[in-house]
Amino acid sequence: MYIYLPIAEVSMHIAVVIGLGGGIGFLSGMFGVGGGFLMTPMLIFLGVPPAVAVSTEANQIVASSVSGVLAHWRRGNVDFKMGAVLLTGGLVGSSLGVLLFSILRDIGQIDLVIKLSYVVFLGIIGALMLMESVRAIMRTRQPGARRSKMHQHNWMHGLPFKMRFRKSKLYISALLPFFLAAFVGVLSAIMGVGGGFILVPAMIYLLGMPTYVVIGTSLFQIIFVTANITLLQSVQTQTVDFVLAGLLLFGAVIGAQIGARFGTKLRGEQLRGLLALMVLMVSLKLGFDLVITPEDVFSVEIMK
Amino acid sequence: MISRCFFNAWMAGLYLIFASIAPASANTLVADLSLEEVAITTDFNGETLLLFGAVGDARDGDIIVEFKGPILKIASRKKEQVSGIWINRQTVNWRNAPSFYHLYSTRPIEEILSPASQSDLSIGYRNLGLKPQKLRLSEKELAGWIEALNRNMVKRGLWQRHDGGVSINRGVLFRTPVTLPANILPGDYDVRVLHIRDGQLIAEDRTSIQVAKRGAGAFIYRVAHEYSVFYGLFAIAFAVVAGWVAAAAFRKT
Repeated sequence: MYIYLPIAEVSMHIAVVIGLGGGIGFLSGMFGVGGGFLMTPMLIFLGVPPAVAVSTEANQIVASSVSGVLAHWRRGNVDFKMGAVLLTGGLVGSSLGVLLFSILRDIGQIDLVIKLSYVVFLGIIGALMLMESVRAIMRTRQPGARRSKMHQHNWMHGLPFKMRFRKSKLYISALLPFFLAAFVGVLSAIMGVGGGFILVPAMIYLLGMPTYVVIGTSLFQIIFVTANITLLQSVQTQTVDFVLAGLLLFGAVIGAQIGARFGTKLRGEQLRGLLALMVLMVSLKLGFDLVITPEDVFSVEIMK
Repeated sequence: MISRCFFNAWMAGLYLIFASIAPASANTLVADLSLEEVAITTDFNGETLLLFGAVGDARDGDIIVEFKGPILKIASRKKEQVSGIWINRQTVNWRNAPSFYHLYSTRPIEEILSPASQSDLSIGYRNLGLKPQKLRLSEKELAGWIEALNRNMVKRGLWQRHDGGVSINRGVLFRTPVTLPANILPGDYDVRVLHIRDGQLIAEDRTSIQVAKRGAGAFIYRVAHEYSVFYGLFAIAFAVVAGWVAAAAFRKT
């Protein structure tokens, strides 16, 4: 059965939409990631206009982050104070990102910027994760090797507006999480992702937050950032297709449950290694698209 | 399927009516469509219409049907390689570019009309008066851009030519199926039917049809555009509730 998506203005088979949600939900459940970085490129690949893909994915991430944050909240693993600073930065960044998105769309460069952002950021994160997990796998084979220190004191600790984050056991400048979240917010709005794949490692390695509060806190702030993107895109470009978001979500919820059960069968560093490979593959595929000679150097866009 | 059977029966009926009231004058042409409106509903996946009509005497002539969609903002872009990466470097914003342009004819149009007559009658994508909005292009460059526009629109099924698509029955009745793809855009579609003999226009008729969103999809679209703040807030609320419900449902199991 085909369904005509009212905002995307394309007709898609309902099984394809739910199946896509389920497949990516499975991977996100298995690896514990949001999955936006897989969903948005897939939607664009299937013919959904990039603006609709990014805005709709933001809407879907609101739902998956709400459902994810509840478990962390119950366990008390959300640092609300840190979350508040992060979401302030995130709101500023994502608002800028939405503005930047519409400018880039008007001048016909949004496809390029989306692809370049994916290539650069997924490439870097994927490579780092792969190296880290390879090292971890090697370490388990060589007992006795020592872990290096988690974070060192450097210039970042000299910044003003220091704040105490009790839950994260940190006393750092609020500017640091603010600008980090602002930067990720811009990327969120342009790439159609929650940004957890940058935020989580940055919170651990850059801010030095303890691992157990990182995921809950990042999910908490992603809810607000993606809600902001949903609202701004709704008002500015009318590109949020909640029918598409709902169908994807339906598949993703079920897929994530199955994926999570699957994930427990694999070891942590193997899981991260596989995730790294997947991230790198998406990055390479998009990078390849930019470099190979296109089938037709001309393209056409029907604007409304 | 049901609708197709219905059309066939209807056609048979119309056939008899037209045959009995066949135009007295040889220089008349009447045409109509099997639908008054194309409704884009939630299960829309393209539609096939029937265009049919009668001419005084079509035995030694040809029929050309032009099906033209609304003029929208259409941009063509050309990529160039910049330090290894293919980047859109040039943009042409078109004037007069229809979002849909299908031609149906009894024979290849080149056999029916000379290039000059095609231009006089503005038949074919080369004769639509396509012009860039601001940019100045040489004749040759413009032709290249127009060919590329055609190529891309054909690929999407939005511009097409169906040589031999029109069939003539008993010298007076003609018909052609008109295929509207799933990616068709709403708006007013103009239909022009030409009767050509010896490269000359004998008779002409025009009609039009509206392609409109209907049902739940149309409602969602309208709310998204007219009450966009409400729509955005609703989308967020929907997502929050859906996320909550999902978490609660799987917590118990």
